[in-house]
Amino acid sequence: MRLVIDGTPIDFAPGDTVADAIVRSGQHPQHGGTLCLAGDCGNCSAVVDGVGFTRTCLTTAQPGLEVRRHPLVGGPAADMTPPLDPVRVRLAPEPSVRRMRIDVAVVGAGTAGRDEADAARAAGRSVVLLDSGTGDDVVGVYPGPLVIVRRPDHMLHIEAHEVVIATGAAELHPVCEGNMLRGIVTADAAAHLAERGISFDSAVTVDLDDLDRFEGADGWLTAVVTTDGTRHPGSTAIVTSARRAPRDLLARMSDETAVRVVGAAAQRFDLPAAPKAGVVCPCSKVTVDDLQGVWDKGFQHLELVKRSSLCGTGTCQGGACMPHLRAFVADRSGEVPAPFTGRPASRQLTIGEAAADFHLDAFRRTALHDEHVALGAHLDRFGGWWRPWNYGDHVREYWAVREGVSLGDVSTLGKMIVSGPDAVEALERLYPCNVHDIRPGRSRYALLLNERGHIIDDGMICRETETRFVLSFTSGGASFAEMWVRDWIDSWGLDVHVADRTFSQGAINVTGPLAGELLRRAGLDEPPKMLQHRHADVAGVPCHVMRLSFTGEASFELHHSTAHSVELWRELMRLGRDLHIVPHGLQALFGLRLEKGHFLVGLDSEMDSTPRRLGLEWAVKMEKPDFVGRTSLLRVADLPDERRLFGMTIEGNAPTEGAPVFDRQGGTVIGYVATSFSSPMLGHGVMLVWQKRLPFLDQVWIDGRVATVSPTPFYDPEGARARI
Amino acid sequence: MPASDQTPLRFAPLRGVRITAKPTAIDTATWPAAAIVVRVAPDDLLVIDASIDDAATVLAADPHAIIEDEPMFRGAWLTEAQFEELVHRVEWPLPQHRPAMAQGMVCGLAIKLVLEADRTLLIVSGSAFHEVPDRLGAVVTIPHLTEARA
Repeated sequence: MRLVIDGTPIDFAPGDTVADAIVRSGQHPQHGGTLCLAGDCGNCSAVVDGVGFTRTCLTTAQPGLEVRRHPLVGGPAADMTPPLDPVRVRLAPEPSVRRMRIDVAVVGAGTAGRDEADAARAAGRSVVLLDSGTGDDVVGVYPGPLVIVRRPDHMLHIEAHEVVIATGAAELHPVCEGNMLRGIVTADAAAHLAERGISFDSAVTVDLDDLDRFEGADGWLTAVVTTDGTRHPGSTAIVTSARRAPRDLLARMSDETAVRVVGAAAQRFDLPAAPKAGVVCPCSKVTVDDLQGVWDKGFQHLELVKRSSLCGTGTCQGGACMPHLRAFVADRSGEVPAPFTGRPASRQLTIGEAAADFHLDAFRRTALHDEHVALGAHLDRFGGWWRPWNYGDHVREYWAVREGVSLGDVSTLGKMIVSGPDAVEALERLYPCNVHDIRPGRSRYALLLNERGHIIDDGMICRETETRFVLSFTSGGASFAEMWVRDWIDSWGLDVHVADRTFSQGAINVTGPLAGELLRRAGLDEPPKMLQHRHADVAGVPCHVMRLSFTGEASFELHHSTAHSVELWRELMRLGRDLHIVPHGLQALFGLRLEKGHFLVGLDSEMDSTPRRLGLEWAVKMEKPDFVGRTSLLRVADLPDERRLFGMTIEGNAPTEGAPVFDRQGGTVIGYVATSFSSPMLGHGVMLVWQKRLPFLDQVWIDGRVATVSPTPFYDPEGARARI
Repeated sequence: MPASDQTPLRFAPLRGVRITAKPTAIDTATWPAAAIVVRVAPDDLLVIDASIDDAATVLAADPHAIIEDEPMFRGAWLTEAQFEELVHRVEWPLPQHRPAMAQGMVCGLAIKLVLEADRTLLIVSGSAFHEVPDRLGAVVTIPHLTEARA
């Protein structure tokens, strides 16, 4: 059996770790450094099957495994593949997460760990015993406590009432001149290799206290020099020490009383002698000279030395260097510093492992999604939904609306039924417009304000009966609006039922001067007039037909059960074939609505846009006794306001959305273009523009051109076309 | 993670009725024997395999009740093994006793679980159904969407 290291196959024996196999082949997993083969240091980490900083001493050798050594300087090369859209492209199979709730989680299956587990079981508590040797790699302990375990094929999240850390103690690494040579192992590592049948030709065993330095040639050890000056030739040094370091990184991640440390991991060992030369932190390649350098600059505290030198911030988080770093600080300060805090994760994790079970919100599809795809739509995400941006020719779609008839899928609009004896009272309090005088069968445009008087959404109020209304909201604002309406009505204690129908009801907008003709063909002989609505069958499908206009042309929204969306859409497309019907996407719609001067919440408005700032005072009835936001609007009504959204026109093509607006050529920026459109009908650019400085100007400079404030709507200001 | 239960998860459109009404009015209703009754909230009821006509007593008891056809959900019955796999992905406490209803986010999807005595119905919104294979495919084997729709 063979694995591949740096492109060369090497043999391994059954049961070998990758590090065993590499040492067996006479090589070193890195370019040097003491091997502990116990997972405590980062000296055996390499790129394994594309994952960097993998501890090869904890990785089982498998046929064909590809191992690449890290470069001598720096980390493994980053993948420079062009960035992918994480929403559209699944980069790799997602590691799954399993969950466990248990009384006691014991980390470490040594004597102390097993004793703790046995005692807990004897007390009738549920116990899980975790050990990296059996595939349970505990990588973090979070408040809760929550224990994160990496397993070969998934992540395990354990919610435990108590966590017991019994991870034992680690051998000390030698810090002296030459300690990054190849050929140095700890005593436990040597014993492990011997068990694996890996022997050394000329090994020198040296106690840490007797060690002065290592000597080598071509990166390999040639001799050990002890403190008495004796030179001991050899190609392998086995370093022993009576002292150890508690393996308590997991315990240092939590200060909760529910996390206990037992056994050797809880033991206080004497520190080694302060290091005098060599590499202290093999992960970050920090030498004693580096430590002295930061110390001399005034960083004379363990945390400061660590952060300024990066000693202890590598992959092992001090597993190899902490005793020596503490000894260094103790030697110079006269006080033994406490170990620094541990941070999850204790091991290198892939992004997939770290993000396991974290999911982006799903972008929803309307019931007509497949119809759009079949029609060649270019789909994009908008307001939490996949929506057609265009069907290949947005100009054609634009003209179909202006001169013929077109369909738009507006199923994404928020839709809500409000019903009850207090429905009018509830809506009067919610909305800044009058509600009581909307007659059944009529509808009204309405803003939705927050307590500060800022616009958070807009839509229609359709009155069905004296006590029942249908409300609509923007696609992106629907979810929030639902919570908003429910919360307020609940807090007022009014007798009203609220039902969200956004996902149950589809909606198709039939728009254009021939829209009425199409509906007549579909069996709707008397379409409702402007701002009216009624229930009727269209093409055999029960619909709530609402007449309004966002495009500026005659428009009818057909709200219907999503179970019938496809048949309704197909039938309308069939009936309109000789009318040259085409569907339109958002790209055309945004231009159409801009010609009418309709603003879009979130695109044209800002977080603190009041009705006044958008020129929508007409939609607010301050004479009402109360509504959400009224108090705030009243307070600022007489104050000057230096922000205002203006309709503006410009010769030629419209400037880019977001373009800065100047008070004069080469002058001061006073605002920006919110949205813009090069109008085919008008032959010039139209825009909604924020001016944010007084006095407001009638003419400004954008893209080196003069733009002029213009009343809105830009197109059909009398609104005659919408009433055809 | 390979699915421990290779039984494909068969989603089907769920048709039924959705009622928002006074809890006491909802309690007056009797439903067809085959109907699956999901009490989403005290004043919110989803009844699968029932119609608006079946809710006549609710409207009599609460004339302002909102009673509508409900076409938005898709559902699949989980095997016991599939349910056990799914449980590992649920970050919120599940009811300890059956029958019960639970709802929340799993793998970024809003789901409802109808926990009957001996079986579990997984319900997802039709608008997010296309995400089910990617997000729950690691938990349970799901046929390709077109097959699931058949």
